[in-house]
Amino acid sequence: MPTAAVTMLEWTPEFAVHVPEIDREHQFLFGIVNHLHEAMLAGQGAETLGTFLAELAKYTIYHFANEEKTMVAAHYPEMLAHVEQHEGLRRRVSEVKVRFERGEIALTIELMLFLSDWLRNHVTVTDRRLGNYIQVEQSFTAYLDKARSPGPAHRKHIRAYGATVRGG
Amino acid sequence: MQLTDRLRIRDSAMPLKATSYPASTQSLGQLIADLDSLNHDTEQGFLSIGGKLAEFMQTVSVISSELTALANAEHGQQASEALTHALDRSTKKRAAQGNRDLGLADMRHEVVQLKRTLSGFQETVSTFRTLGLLTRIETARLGSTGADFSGLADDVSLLAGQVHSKVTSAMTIADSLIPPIESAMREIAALEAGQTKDLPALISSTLASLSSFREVQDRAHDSSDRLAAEFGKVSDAFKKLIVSIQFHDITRQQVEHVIEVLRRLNSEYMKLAGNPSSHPRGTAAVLALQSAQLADADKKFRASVESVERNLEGIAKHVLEIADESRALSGVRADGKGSFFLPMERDCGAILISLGHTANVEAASLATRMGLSETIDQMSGPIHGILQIETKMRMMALNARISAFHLGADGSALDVLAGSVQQLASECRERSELLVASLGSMSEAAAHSRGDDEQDPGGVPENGDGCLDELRLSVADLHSATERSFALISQIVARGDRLSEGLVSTRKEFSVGTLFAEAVTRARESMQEIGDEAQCGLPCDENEDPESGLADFMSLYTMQSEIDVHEGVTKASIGTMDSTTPIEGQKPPPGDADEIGDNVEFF
Repeated sequence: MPTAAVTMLEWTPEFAVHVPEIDREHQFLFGIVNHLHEAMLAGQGAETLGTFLAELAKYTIYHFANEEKTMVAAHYPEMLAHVEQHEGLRRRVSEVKVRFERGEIALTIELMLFLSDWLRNHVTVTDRRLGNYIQVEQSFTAYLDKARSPGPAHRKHIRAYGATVRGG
Repeated sequence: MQLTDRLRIRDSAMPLKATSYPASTQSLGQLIADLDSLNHDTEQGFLSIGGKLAEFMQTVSVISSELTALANAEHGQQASEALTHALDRSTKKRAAQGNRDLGLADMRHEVVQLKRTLSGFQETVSTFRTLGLLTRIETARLGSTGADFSGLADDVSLLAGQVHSKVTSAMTIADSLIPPIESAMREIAALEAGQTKDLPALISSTLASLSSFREVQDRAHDSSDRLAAEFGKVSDAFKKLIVSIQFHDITRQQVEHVIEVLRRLNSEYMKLAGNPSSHPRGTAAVLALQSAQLADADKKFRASVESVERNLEGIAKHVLEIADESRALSGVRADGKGSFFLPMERDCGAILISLGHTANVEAASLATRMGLSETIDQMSGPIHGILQIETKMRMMALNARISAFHLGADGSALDVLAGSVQQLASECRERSELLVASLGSMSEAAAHSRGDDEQDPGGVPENGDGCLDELRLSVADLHSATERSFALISQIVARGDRLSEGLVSTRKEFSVGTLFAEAVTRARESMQEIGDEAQCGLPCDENEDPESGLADFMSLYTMQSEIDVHEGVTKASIGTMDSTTPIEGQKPPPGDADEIGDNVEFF
C-alpha cells in the first residue's frame, strides 16, 4: 500500500556502482536523506535537523574515508578530482552545521534540494567511474593471478616435461 | 518462465512415442500440451498485470488525496496574520523606540547638567577652605578673646573636606553614567534599524512570498479539481483494463473447448492404434472447425491485448501530466536546483535570525537601562550627604555669628566670615536641591527608557521579548508549513514519476499478445498438417456429411462467438475454407473491453 511516505531518493539499479560495499553505503546514505524527507513531511524538519546533520556528517566522513581507501588501494588515477568533490560536500555540511548551531533552523528545503542533487550526480557520474575502474582492475588482477598460478592441465604438462627431462 | 522457453524444455524432455500409435496422435498430444501451456501462461501474464494495476490504482488514489491535502492545508494563513500584525507592531514600536531614545537623550542632558552643578561645588569647597584658613588667622589674632571660635576653623575645614568627598563621589558616579547612556542610545539606534527597517523589509518580502505561496495553493486546489476529473478518467481506464483482462477468460474458455475437442479426437486415434495409417472419420472437418475457433480466439485476444496496451499508454500519459503539473507547483526549475520554496525559506530564516538578534540586543539594552537606574540610585547617597553637610554648615555659621555678636567690635571680622559660610551653605543648598531635582528627572528618564510607562499597542504591556517570541513562533510555524508542502509536492512528483515509469515498463513487459499469436499460429499449422494427412490417408467418402459429428461440439460452447464460428464453418465448405479469414456473418472481435457484447451472457 503506497500511502506511506515515498522514498525521495530511491536506490534503484541505476545508482549501482557495482562495488558491493560502496553500494551498501550509498543505500544507507540515501536512507539518511529519506529520514529528513519524512521529518519534513511531518513538519518537523527543524526539530530533527540537528540529529540529521550530525548523522550525515558522521556517515559521510566514514563513507568517504572508505571510498578514498579503495581509491588509494586501486591507484585510482582520478582520485584527486573525486576527493575534491568529497571535500565540497564535507565543507557544505560543515557550513550548514555552523549556521544551524548559530540558530538558523530554516534550512531544510535548501539542504534537501542540495543533497538530492549532489548525491544523484556524484553517485551516477563520479562514483560510477570509480566503480567501473575497480571492476576492470579486479578483472585484470584475477587474470594476472590466474596467469601466475597454473591450472591442472598446465601442471600436468609441467610434470610431464619434468619427467621427460629427468628421463632424458 | 516464457511460454517459448517452456515449450523448448518440454520438447526436449518429451520421450519418443511408441511406434504403434499414429504420428497424428503424437502431434495431437503435443498440440494439447501447447494449448494447455498457452492458457496457463496467458493466465499468469494477466494475473501479473492485474496485480500491478491494483497497485497503480492505489497510487493514483494516494496522489489525488495528497493533492487535496496540499490544497486544503491552512499553510500560511495564520503566519500571514501574525506577520501582518508584526509589521504593524513594528511601525508602532518605531515610535516607541523614538520616545525611548528621547528619554535617554533627556537623561544624558540631565547628567551633563548634574556634572555642571557638581563642578560648581568645587569652587564652594575651595571658598570653604579659604574661609576656614581666614577663621583660623582671625581666632589667632583675637587670642583668648576668640577662644569660643577655636573649633570653628577645624569644623569648616572638616565640612569642606566632607563636601569635597561627596561631590567627588557623585562626580565619579555621574561620569560613569555617560558611557552606558551613550551605549544604550547606540543599541536603541541599532534596534530601531533592525526592528523598524530591516525586519519590516524581511517581513514584507515574506508576505510577498506568502502571497505567491497562496497562488501555489490555489493552483494546487485547481490541480486537485482537475486531477479529480483526471482521476475519473484514469479510474475508467483502469476499469476498462480490468474488463480487458477479464476478457481473457473468454478466450481461455474458447481454447479450453478446443483442447477438449482435440482430446476427444486423440481418443479416437488411440482406438485406431492397430492401424497407424487410419484416421477417425471427419478429422479434417473437426480440425478445421477448431482452427477457426482458435483464429477467432486469437482475434479476440489481440483486440483485448491492444485495448490493454492502449489503456496503459493512456493512463501513463495522464499520470505524466499530473507529475508535470505537480512539478510546476513546486516551482523546481528544470535543472532541479532551484525552487519557489527556497526564497521563502531564506526569508523565514532571515526573519528568525533578525528576531534572535533583536531579542539579544533588546535584552542587553534593557540590562543597561536597569543598570542606569541602579547607578542613579547610587548617586542619591552622596547628594543627600551634601544636603546634610549643608545643614550642619548653616547651624555652625549661625552659632559663629551669635558668638561674634557677643564679642562686639572685636568679633566683627569673624561675623563677616561666619556670614560668608552661611551664604555658601545657602548656595550649597540651592545646588543640592538642583542635584536632587536632576536625580528625579534622571530616574524618570531611566524609567521611560525602560518602557515602564508604555502599553502594548494591543493593550498588552510590553514584556521584553514576549512579542518577539510570538513572532518567532509564527515564522517557525510558517517554515514548518512550507517544508511540509515542499516535501508533499516532492512526494507527489516522485509518486507520479514512478507510476508513469511503472506503467511504461508494464506496457513494455506485456508480451502475452505476441506469445498467444505465435502459439495459435503454430497450433493451427499443426492442425492443418494433421487435417491434410487425414484427408490424404482416408479419402473423404463422397457420401460422408462433413458436418457429421460436429454438432456434438455445440454442447461444449459457452459463448455466442463460439456458436457463430461453428455455424460459419458448418455452412461453408470445410475442405476449401480458409480458416484464417473471418467467417462471414461472424461478429467482429471486440476492439475494446466494453464491446464484449453477447459473450458475457454466458458467464
